[in-house]
Amino acid sequence: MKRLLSICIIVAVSTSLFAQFDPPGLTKASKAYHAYRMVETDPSYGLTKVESLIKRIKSVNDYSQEIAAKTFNALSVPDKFTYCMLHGEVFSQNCDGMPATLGEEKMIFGHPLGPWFGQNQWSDRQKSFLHHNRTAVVGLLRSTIRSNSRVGCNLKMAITELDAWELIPDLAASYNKAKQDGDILSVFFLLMKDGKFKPFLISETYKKIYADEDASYKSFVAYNPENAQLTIQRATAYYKSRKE
Amino acid sequence: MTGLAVLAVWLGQADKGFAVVLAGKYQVGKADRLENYSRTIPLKAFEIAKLDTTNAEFAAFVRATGYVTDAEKNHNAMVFEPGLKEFEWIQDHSASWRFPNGKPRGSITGKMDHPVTSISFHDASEYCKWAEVRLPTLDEWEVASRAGAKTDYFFGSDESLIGKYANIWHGRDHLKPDFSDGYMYTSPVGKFLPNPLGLYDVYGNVFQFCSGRLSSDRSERVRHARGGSWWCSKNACCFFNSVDIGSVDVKASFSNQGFRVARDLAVR
Repeated sequence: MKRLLSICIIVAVSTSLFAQFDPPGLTKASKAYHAYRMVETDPSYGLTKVESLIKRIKSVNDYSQEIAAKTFNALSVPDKFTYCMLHGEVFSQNCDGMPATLGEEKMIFGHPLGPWFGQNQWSDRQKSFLHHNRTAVVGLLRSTIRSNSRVGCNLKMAITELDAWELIPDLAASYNKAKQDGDILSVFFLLMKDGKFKPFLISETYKKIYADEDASYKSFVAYNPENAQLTIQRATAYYKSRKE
Repeated sequence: MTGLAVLAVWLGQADKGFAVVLAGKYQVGKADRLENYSRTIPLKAFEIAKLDTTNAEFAAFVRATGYVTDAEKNHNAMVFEPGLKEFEWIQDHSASWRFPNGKPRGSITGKMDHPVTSISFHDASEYCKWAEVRLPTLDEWEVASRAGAKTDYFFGSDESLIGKYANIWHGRDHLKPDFSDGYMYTSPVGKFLPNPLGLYDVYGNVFQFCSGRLSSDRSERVRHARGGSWWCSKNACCFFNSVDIGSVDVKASFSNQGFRVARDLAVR
């Protein structure tokens, strides 16, 4: 018993020391997963043209984040979609980017990471475009998801902004390719929350990440195969309930 | 003191408006953070303002120099009004340090003792040049904010005490105004209890710009601020602590970001 106690103390002290001095071995997986969560997806529609427009904004001056109204209005719907997925026209506040956390790869958060490293967000005209063209944008999101191996954090933001529950089967298919992208499960949480899907609203997950008195944007549930499976099952049931 | 340096105010040596942090080795960061991980750092002695820079102080700078802020030039300040979804802000062309949340939401008249806001990191740096001070580094801010504590807050780990020390948002969300601590936006500086070093508004009121970069910075334009703000709530970002580090564009102006100044001890 004494020996077991000694081993426990050594393990506890070692863990504490490792945590304090941040050895690469301990944080490598978490850093890699944080970087994985920040990956964006470039839609193919007018990509070269849109990239050129964004580059030009940044070369004109050091403060404006917008293309001219005339240029914006002249873009086709697919080109505007690409523009919105690649660029937010207004700044984001200091706390928009959530801190990278040890053990992040073992967490499903209540909110996915946003795009552009938390530095920008959509302007009113960009949001207006997305909402006024919801049907077309959902179609563009679907084809972009299907033609890419990942659902970037920019696409995820558009999906939650538009409450695009129609994309649940495509998101589930994308998740099942690698079973790594916990932020797709976070998108499912948000879609079910916004859709007030009762089986989710009465769940322990909902309580922990959204309803508890202390629930915040840092709240999470354990990322394990059981929780992932349960979330996909619930999201699929939610999708079917909306289709009926 | 476990081999760490002593943290103290040198009464008699410190300027009335500044607290002194002695040279030494200090514990910063937190074990579960990948960027601001737990570590011991060496610091040279420095002084840090007990209060955030106020509208009155910034007005003196503008009067003396004719300085025009980024928001006044570019009309792109970001403001808040109740009713917005979490983390949403709106651009208001009329907003600047004189009208922090835009003209329709009032001016700084009668609020000269509030922290200056709706200024950018660039504006704060220009003020510092004029005032012959500087922004604290990320590490200096953290050491001064902790005042010797190793917990997330200088007052320990009990987040429920935050209301005694900080002007933050107490509402569940930002859909309705929150005046529960007396202020929806900024409060006058020094209205809440100070930390043991004598610094007021360490947490809340305004994010305080710091110099320095992080290894995760993806752009030359990224700058940092710490301490959270009147907008921050426990249900949103919870950045009102000694651990988290905010990031923002060098030219971005928000009505929840300001600064407190620092200076090298050797200067005096």
